[in-house]
Amino acid sequence: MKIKICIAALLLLCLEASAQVPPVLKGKVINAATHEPVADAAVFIETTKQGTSTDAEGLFKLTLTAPDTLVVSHINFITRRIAVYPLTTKELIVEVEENSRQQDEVVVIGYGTTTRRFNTGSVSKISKEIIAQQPVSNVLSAIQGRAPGVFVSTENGLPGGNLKVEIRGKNSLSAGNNPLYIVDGVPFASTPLNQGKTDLTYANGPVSPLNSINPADIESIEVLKDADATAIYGSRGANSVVLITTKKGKAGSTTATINLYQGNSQVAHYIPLLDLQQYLMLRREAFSNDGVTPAAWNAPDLLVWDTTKSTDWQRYILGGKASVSDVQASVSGGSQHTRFLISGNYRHETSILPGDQYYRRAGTHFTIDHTSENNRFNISLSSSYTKDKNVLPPAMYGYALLPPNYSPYKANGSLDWTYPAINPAATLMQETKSETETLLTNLIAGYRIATGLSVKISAGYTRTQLSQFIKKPAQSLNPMLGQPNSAVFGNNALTSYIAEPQLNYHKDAGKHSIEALGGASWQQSINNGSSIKGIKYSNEQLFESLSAAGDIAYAQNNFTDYRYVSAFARVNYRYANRYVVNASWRRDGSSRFGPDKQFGNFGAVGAAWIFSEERFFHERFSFINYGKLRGSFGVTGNDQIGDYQYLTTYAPAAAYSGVTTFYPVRLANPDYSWEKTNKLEAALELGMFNSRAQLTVDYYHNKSDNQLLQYPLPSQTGFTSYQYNLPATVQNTGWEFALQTVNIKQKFFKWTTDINITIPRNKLVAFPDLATSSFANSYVVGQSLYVVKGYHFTGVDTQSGIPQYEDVNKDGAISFPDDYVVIGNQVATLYGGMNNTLDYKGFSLSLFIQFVQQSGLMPASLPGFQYFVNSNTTVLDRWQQPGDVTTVPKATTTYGSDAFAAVSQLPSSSAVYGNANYLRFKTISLSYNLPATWMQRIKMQGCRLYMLAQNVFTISSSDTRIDPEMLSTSGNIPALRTIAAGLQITF
Amino acid sequence: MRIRKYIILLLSLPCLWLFFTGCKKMVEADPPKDQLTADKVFSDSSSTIAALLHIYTKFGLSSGTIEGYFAPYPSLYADELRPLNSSPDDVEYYTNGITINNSINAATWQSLYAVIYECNALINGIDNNGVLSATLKSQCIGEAKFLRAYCYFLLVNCYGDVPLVLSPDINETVNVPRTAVADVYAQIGQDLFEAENDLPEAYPAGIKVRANKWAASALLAKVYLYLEDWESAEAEATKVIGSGIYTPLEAPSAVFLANSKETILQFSENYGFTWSGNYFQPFFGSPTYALTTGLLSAFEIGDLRKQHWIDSVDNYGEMVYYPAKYKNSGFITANAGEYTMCLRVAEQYLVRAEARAHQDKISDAVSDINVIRSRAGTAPVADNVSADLCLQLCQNERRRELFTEWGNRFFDLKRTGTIDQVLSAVKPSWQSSAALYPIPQTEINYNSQLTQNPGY
Repeated sequence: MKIKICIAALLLLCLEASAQVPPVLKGKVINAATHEPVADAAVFIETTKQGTSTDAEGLFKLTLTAPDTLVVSHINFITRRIAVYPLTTKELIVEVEENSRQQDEVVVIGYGTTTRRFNTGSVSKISKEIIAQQPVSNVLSAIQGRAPGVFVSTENGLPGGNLKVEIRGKNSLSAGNNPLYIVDGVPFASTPLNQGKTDLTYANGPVSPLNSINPADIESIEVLKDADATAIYGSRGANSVVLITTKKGKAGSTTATINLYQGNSQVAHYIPLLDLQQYLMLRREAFSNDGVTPAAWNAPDLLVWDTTKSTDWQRYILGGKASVSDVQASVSGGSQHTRFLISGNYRHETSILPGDQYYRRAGTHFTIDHTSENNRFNISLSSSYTKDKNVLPPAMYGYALLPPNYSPYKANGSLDWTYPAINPAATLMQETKSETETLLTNLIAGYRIATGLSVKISAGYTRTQLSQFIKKPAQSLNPMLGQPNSAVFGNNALTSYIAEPQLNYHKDAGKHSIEALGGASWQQSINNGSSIKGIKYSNEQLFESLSAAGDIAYAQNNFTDYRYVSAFARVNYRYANRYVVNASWRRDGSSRFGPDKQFGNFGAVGAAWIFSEERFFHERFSFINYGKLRGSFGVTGNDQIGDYQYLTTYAPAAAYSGVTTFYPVRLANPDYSWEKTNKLEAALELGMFNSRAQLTVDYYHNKSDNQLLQYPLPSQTGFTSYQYNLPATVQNTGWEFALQTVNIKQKFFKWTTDINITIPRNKLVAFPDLATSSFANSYVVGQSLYVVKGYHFTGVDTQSGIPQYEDVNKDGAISFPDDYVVIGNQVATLYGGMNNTLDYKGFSLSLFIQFVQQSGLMPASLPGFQYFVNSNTTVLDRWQQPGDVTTVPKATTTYGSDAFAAVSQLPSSSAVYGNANYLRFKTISLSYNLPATWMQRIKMQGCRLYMLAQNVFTISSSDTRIDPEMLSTSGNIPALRTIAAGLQITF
Repeated sequence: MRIRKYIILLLSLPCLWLFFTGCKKMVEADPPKDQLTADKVFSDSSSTIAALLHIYTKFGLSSGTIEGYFAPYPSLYADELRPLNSSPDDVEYYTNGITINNSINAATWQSLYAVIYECNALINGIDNNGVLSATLKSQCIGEAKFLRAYCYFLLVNCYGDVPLVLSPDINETVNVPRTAVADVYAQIGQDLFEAENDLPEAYPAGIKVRANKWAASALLAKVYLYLEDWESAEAEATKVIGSGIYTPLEAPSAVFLANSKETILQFSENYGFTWSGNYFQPFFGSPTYALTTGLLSAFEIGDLRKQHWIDSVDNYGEMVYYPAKYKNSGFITANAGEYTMCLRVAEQYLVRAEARAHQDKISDAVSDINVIRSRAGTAPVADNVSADLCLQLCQNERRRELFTEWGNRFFDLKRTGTIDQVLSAVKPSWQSSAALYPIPQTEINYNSQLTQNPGY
């Protein structure tokens, strides 16, 4: 079907005598279909380039001295060109036709932009609207389920907690699998600064640096996946690239926006645990089954603790309500040549845990850009600064599973350390403060040398600093362990510089169109950190003063320097807007490799055929208005390993007889080099029924080899491993589907649906000498990297109630590792999301459902087994008497009893492996825009009222996990349910 | 206009050219500030000494714990200790059924070779450097060779043939097969000769935590004893005893204190307590290991060593005895500091006594034994004994004197050929092939040249 262009009536009237000097052209841009005003449309005079953009009412004003052509453009509408004449006094009404053709939407790619239509690579885009619907502090939470191929899981639901992101599966056995994050062209380190530092991750685990990016400052997120899109990032493109583009100023009258919301968060699901009577019953049953009389040392819960008082520990630890407040304010404006945006934000969250913890973040974001009068020179500067503070106790989740009659206090009110040797009341006295400061700046200057040829330099500076303070008062420590009180002071900073000169060339000649890019990149990242532990404070009031410490347990610092240099080029050729070929190349050098091994070549070729432009196709399948086949192949790399692995170095160690000693840090290997991922992709993109339905189907096939890992060595070499390239091959394949439909589109009512589904497959294809390597119990060739091994549980013996396992090596005993078999793969086999948006007049309702089909480990059902852990209610189905058919063994608790050994093997058997599918109502957002006519009366541009709900509820195939998103058996604070209400005002 | 265009082009091209050619320099990262590259370490005397001293820390509790693998495990394996609250790995030692994946066994092997690597790297680094003074070079190399010899001595006695690795270069070490015990001993001997020759008699800073000439002689005496070269063993032990630094013998209560007179070599401890002090003593009222009744009954009435070096506790109604040569632990540090004892002069008397008995110098042998007995408060033995009885007296005295120290009992049973007879009497599962520990399976996995000991 031909694109139907409705040419609206155009009112061009008339000459009336006017005294206005200079003559002003006034007008309004409206949606041709709904007659609603169109805000943010760019309006300019073609010859003079003088221009502005429309306000929230769709209004604009321009000076016009001679007859000319007015150009009106907006990303969601078809560009209009209208002849205009000076001295027109009547308001010009410009109707624009909505451009639902997503294929002409601009997408940001590496070192440039393109349109969906001509893109030869695989790029998923997440818009600011989607981010704004979610009251989250970390932008990674907001992209969960939104883009095919992107799997995000929460590792810790507390504010500041880390999220794991895997795009198109796990490529690397042991080097990092993090995607490359680029914020406005500058790489952003996503590795937590305190990673791997025991004392500093004590409370909240690793701190995600992405938390320092204010989600409201983001214009769009593009995820680049295939070789064509990522090879321009060469060595770091293997795990995909996440491009974050921040908001920029818009021309037009100065606009101020204030957006604030307030809400509450809490845990959405509790594990059904035993109540006091059930708990005591099972414990007594365990002793009676074992034929053992309980004693104080092995059954304090039955004999020492009060068996009448009950505490719901799960609700005590996790049952709190956290508040969330978020304020964003921004001012933007400028002329067609100079634009600016200044914004500030503040967020405050409390925690669900008992006690007074909080998370606070404040930041500013600023951009300015300028284009010279002749449009040849442009310069832009953007900068954002964020500071956050996170005050938390140490990990508390484990305490949620304490037995119901446990009390942290003795009868006399003092802390009870007897059983178990940990105490939640004491742990809550410990505190961690983490403060992160992040400064991101980026300067871009460009000059058009000649038609089609321009130079550009982009330079960036990023600094992230994490300061931590962890205190452990004497009262919070078990006195029997004789540990002194302590305070740890940690300080880690990452400073990065980047400079990238680029040369761009563009030429159109008839049906031929060519674009070329050449450039270079120089980067340096310096990681500087220190941590000091003071102990034996005589006065705990002065914990934050190191001089008050009686002794310094350790004082250490670390420093790494990472350098990176590249040259890159890309050539894109297009013929007749139908055939596109795109080739990119990059040569990278990284300081993480030894001399002579630093450089690697990467590159890709992509091609697209827009077959809907072919006449034969047109005629036969007129309902398909857009169709493209594309494919790409290429090679990208990965260098996410530690620095200096090629260097033989010595580092200070404990003193010997009062003299500091030096120890050899590693066995250096000068010979390892880049891990490489070969990527292959084929995709079909379709736009049907005048683009009311758009479908993208991708198939990818990636193979990673030359795996960087710590290769095991015989210890006669002095070390047990060294950095090495193992010729093991990991394969990631998958299908990705994305479907967007406009189901109903009427004057006042619109219903749209977005669905994305990913079906990933991960496989270890080859691993030389796996059976004798240190990875023998972790991986299996032919299985995924997420393989889980354990005993094969064959059921509970109906006569004895003892769990049975397959005796694989037939030696009559069940033992590790010979009786271990593959029990499953702890990974998602299908995931995606579905978003429905309903718009009616000023109302907008959006509902997003996220779903994951996966399997994994869950808590084992161990009836009456331990006195310091409560169990979920599945243990009530235990075996009780001969003839009982059940999968839950009989209650047991005594070492040496007939069932004990077999029951203690249960957590490492297939009995705990199962389905972990879930479907989550992830985001519900309802908003109402107050009618424009009301707003005009109070001289405001707009006012929006909204309600947001995140992680509303989850349907899961098993309720014994606190959150099906967390597959580990230990569990952690889950992603919280947040409900917030807000208000956005624009002046 | 056109000219400007060319100027800009001309200016931008060299920039790009610089990027392409200067790449190599640009990816050279600054070395880490918290670490020193090896060449810098060995071009300065204080950092060379720092690298040397680190090797010593691997033996004690401060930053390694080789003593932790040699105080309890050979004692469990022989007839000195039994496990009370122990892991399955410990039980495997007690029942002489170490499996090839036993983690303690793997760690024992690994920690000794880690020390050997550091010694080799140090010797290699100093050899290749022209800046250090000749005195410092020979002193550091001497100490490194002493430590390397000690590790190989422990290795051959636990495992039999072991890979003889003398270089830090992975290309030369990764595939080395097992070397015959005699060849390993030849290297041990050579290292100790050189150490004895190069090391001064005085201890640096007067504290006996670094090997001096007599430490090399003492270990050499022990090596000769194991090689049954009685004459040389006697000569070396005589050198040590004759130095006069270590005699007369101290009272039993003072032997294991830091820098005691008895000490030939101790490993310095930063917190004043040792592995044995920390782990042999009861934890929450219950010790991990108890002394066997066989060992307890080997003491004569009134033996001061039983009084001072052994303690007891009520363990759930059973009175159990545990080694208490060291008194300090993480909980108890009020006493005078203790260091981990490596070589002490009492052992030299026993080495010499045994060497003399083998040469039929019975009265000399007995007088050495009586030096030890008199310090222990037990009656002297008469010198009118047969050579065989004298040798038996030596072994009895060794058992009482050196229990839970560095695997002495286990090694003594093996070298005297009595292990099958002694252990099969107390351990029903004993087999002759158990005289050697198994080679850890991971080592065989990563070096296919290695073979397993028979019986595993």
